[in-house]
Amino acid sequence: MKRSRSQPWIWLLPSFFLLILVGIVPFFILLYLSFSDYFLLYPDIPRVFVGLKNFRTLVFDPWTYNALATTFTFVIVAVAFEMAIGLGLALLFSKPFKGITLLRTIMLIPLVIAPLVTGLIWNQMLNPDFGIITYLLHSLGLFLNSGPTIDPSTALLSIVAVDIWHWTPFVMLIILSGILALPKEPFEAAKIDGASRWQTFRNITLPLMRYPIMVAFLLRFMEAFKIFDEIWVITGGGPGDATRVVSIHTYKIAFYRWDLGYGSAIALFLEYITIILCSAFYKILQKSE
Amino acid sequence: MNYSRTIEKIFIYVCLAVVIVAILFPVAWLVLMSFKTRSIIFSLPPPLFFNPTLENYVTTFIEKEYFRYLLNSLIIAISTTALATSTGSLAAYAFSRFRGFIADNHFFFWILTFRMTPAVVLIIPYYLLWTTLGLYDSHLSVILSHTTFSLPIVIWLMKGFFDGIPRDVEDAARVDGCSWFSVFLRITLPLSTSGMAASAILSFIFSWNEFLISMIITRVNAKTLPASITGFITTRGILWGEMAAVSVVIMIPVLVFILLVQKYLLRGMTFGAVQ
Repeated sequence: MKRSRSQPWIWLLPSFFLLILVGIVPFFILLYLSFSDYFLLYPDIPRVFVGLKNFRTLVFDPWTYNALATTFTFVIVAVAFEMAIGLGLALLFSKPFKGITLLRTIMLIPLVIAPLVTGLIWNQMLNPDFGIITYLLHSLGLFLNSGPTIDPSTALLSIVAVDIWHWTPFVMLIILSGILALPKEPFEAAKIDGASRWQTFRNITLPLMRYPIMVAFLLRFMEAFKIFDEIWVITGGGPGDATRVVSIHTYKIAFYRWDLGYGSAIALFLEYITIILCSAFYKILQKSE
Repeated sequence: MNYSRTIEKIFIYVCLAVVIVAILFPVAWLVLMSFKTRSIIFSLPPPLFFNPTLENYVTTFIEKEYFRYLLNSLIIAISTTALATSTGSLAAYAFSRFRGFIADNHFFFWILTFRMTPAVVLIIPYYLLWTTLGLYDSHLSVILSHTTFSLPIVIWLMKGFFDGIPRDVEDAARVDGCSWFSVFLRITLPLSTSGMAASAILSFIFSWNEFLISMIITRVNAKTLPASITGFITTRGILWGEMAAVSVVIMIPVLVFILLVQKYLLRGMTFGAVQ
């Protein structure tokens, strides 16, 4: 059989062109900038090549370390809660109740709401003067003359709470789809052998669910690491530096101090972390195939 | 035995109700806020009943220029979707059918990192790139920037769908003299409409909701609705009612999409890890 040949490159050309323009070129710009001193505030001063200066600043900058520490605190606390609550909810929503499909559909709602809009809703509800949640807390005698978002000790926790509201349904739905795809035989065998509910869950459900749980965990970890919009509208990184995660930090270095050289160095470092996280996720995806 | 069963059932129903209320309350609160006047928004405790008003929608979308930003958002989201799905599905088809001509694995990993790159990494180069090319504050620059994030998800998702289409039909058509491209257009695409719909809607949602990049690379001309939100933070305080009205308008189309693609939404958001 004579098969007509088609050049694979022709099919890929449009995508390659786009990805090079908006994906590769920016990295060369970042690389170039990170080796120069470039302040947009003084456009007359020419860009100077400064070698590794920006990277040396990065290594010795406690401010950036602080931002990284805040980010990882946020990510670890938020994702831990989301995984725990998500797993519990998935078990709850896997029960074949009347109308459960409608309830599962409702759980999709937070997934499509813009992070910005989520931030705005909660900013209003947590407003120290007239937010409904602050009002309830005040009537319980908590945060008098203050609010959870303006108290430095609880600001990050309120962002965690917002993130839990936004993304627990996502974790729950991933795990739920895993539960619904579970084979029936091992559970019947366990029942015959007289295993308790906890034993069945611990020894059969959890091991079979390892894959969806890992997927949910890694996706959430990567996404939480990128958080910007919610913090931007709720606290703006404050009070003080309490919620200054690394995205907010980079943004402020680049567009408040207009230090594009150092900003680019941090951005490259963030990309490096992203690549490490992606390779972990990619390994998991491939293992499943 | 029976007694404890009933208790358990009631307990589960109560838990479900609490979860659903917790999910829906903030959304409902936003919608209610958009119909409240300024004085009602500020009153404590919040009144249970109030006279709803369309004032906030009228001021923003008719008196102020938010209608224009709405149009911008639509133009940008639709163009991003069109660009990403058309080029992305071609690439996905090549990955699905011409195996082994390129290090596919590395390429897929590369694509994944594009999707997962924090927007804050890209705003510095985008700001300079579009300014240098004279495209700052133009629709085209926002469309291209959003495509960075939409294209990977389209390629990834569509490859999964194309892999699921049997090759026999295509081979038969090619033996009859159809070219690869016309086979793709006439046979493969019509067989993967649900995949196209899913990836189109995911691209649309991403572009529609995107905030940081649009805020950095637009000023007036190509400003999108999310980027326009910062305009409500004024010297006289935050205009909550108007902000809520615009937020509701941002929220409506994506909520409609849930009903259309709920089966594929999760699949797309997890790179096909969840079927």
